[in-house]
Amino acid sequence: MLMKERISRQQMMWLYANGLLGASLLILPQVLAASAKQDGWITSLICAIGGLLLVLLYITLALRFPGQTIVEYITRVLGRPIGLLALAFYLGYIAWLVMVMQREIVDFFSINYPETPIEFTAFCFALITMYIILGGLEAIARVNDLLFPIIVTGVLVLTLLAIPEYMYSYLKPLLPESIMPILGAIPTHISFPYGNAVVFLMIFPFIRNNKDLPYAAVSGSMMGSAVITMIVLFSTLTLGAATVARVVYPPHFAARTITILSFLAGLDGLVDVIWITSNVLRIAVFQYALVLAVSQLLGLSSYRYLVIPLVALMSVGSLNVYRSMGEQIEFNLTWTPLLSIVPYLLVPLLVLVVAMVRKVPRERKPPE
Amino acid sequence: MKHLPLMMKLIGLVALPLVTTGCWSSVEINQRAVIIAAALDKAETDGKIALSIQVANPNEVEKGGDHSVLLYSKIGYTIFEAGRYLQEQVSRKPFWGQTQLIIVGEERARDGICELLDFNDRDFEPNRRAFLLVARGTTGRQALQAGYGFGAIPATTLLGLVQRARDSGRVPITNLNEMLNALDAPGRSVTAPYLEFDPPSPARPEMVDQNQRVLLKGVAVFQHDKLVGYLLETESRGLSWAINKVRNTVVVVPGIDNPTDKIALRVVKAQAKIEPSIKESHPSFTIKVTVQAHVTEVMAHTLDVTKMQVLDTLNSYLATAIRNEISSAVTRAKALHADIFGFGTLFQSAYQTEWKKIAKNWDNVEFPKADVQIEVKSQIVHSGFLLKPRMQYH
Repeated sequence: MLMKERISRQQMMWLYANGLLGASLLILPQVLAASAKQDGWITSLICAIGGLLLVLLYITLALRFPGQTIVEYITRVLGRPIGLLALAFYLGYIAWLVMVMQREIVDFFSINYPETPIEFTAFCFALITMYIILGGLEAIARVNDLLFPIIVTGVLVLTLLAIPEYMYSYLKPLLPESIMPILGAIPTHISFPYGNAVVFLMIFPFIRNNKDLPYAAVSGSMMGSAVITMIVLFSTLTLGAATVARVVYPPHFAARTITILSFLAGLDGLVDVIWITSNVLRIAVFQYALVLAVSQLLGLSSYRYLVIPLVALMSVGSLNVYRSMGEQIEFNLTWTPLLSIVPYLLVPLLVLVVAMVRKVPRERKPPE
Repeated sequence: MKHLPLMMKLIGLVALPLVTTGCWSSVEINQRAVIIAAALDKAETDGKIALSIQVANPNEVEKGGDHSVLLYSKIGYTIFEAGRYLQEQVSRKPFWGQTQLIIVGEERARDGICELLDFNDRDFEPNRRAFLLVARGTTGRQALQAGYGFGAIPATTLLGLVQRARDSGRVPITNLNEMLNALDAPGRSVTAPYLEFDPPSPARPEMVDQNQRVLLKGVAVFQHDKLVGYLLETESRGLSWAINKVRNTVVVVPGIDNPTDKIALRVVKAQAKIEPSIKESHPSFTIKVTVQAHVTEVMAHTLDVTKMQVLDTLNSYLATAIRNEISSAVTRAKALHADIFGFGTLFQSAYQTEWKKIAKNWDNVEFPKADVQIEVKSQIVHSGFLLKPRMQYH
């Protein structure tokens, strides 16, 4: 399939950064506090380094096969049977991520608007996603250009305005039980959101100039990590680790708890706008990658044929991907870190190693 | 979208405004009954809660009439249940989002407040910006009926008392967020301001006399989350000093030459720090308080504030007064077995292993036995417009 679309260095950087945000803005502090308590921000900094290692792996792989998506080279590297199996893991992972992300939005709405049917919320967001993806990756990147600064500014404004409300004693004691608790949350945090960025193996080939890719992805990853750490600190400093560990959406909860300058109350709306904007863009990128991957796999001439059916399918799937939020959180803390290692680490690593050992040519053989 | 025909684009354009008109679950503001304050009392029926809500009546508030607020009550096993069935009396939909006060009747507070606050955290409408008060010797419902002061809404009057309490400095104010977070801390007990009728009313009067006012007297002490006692004025300020809640207050000290003279000092700054340590294998704490004060009123004829010696004496009087208040609060808290200072939490963060050994006995053995030292440093930084005393002619 022809991929005529190209995005710039800065667009790739912001897309990657936003690819790490989305729901991490809302539920990550809880995940970290559940294990690392008040030291969640340290875990988040350690995982930022892990995230950098992962992004280096993805960049190396993308530059080994410039201008091609993983679907195009995986069977060439691993052979058809193993390649397809690995691809099944990879695509299954992306599909699962898309469903979970959509469900997170739906769940959030159904907590705040219990009387609205979840099907209606899912339908609205499916329409938005379809519309964005039909515009193509360039359009997604341009929308991201417009909204990503707003997301980052929003987080900055929130965390800075709340400084007078912070209770610094909530960060003490530092490392009460040495370092085991902070290590406990690392597998979860690496897989979410840094491991999720494996989806960018479908997006990296679209960069206009391949030389810009390392800069774009690495700085994007660092931007994302910085925002995540800020949100973790914001939640812990306003609510305390014990509460953060017990609340589903700590930043939302924290924002509705504080009163800034003794009159500005109920900033949860700001948090909601930030994370929903970020999550919708993130879903669009992931969904686009999925649609593109499937259509490349099937050898279609354009990905557009698949947009409506696949988005609709994912939307219905999102309503059935788990039964209740408790189940999902339990699953995310126990099984997700283990299972997702296959698609986010083993598959790309295997492809890279085998490609280097077998000296697979960089370019596709011209059709005979 | 270039491939879509014009007609489709037009239909899309027309359809768009339809989804931007509002939310599915929207309730218009004139269909809301905004709950300003809620009272939670023990119901006569076993295990039930009496929920009372005070709702603003927007049409009457401006006129300042007698009906500017409405009070509704309902009994139920849980708050949400009572609130839902309350709908059978209230013609609008009660809205918890702006609730400013939660008043718990004394009897209910003795049973524990944690379970009452689950709804506050779990549901999407209420939030932790409210203040929790205890109605001493009465029910929350009655406290909501009295207290008419500035403005037509009793709850706003009560809220004003809470917010202005920082100026008298005698009642440390903690909002729900601080309180609930403290309840999560190891060994920690909490306090909440309490209200009392003035003049005191009989146990359960049928109607509240409109001339009766409620006032903020001190703090109710909870052992963890169960009400066990009260701290009165000076004790309660003693707690305030120690947990860093004093912003502004006045301390009266005796005159220098004549102890019956009185000198009022305005405290403008107070900072406290509690340092845990171990003495003879028992927890020990040092409360360090630094205050700055102005001489604001001198009921004496002999005070010469230009003399350093005079100021030093005043400083030591102020320090002693504060030390006594803190010490009375500590004694009372120890007697009630309620660690309202957060000593346990501080000790836990400094001495992990030692804390594990004593955590079980903290309330009943270790906290009452703990050694508490109080160090107060005071500094008089200003003495108003006057320097010398009035000339003496006799």
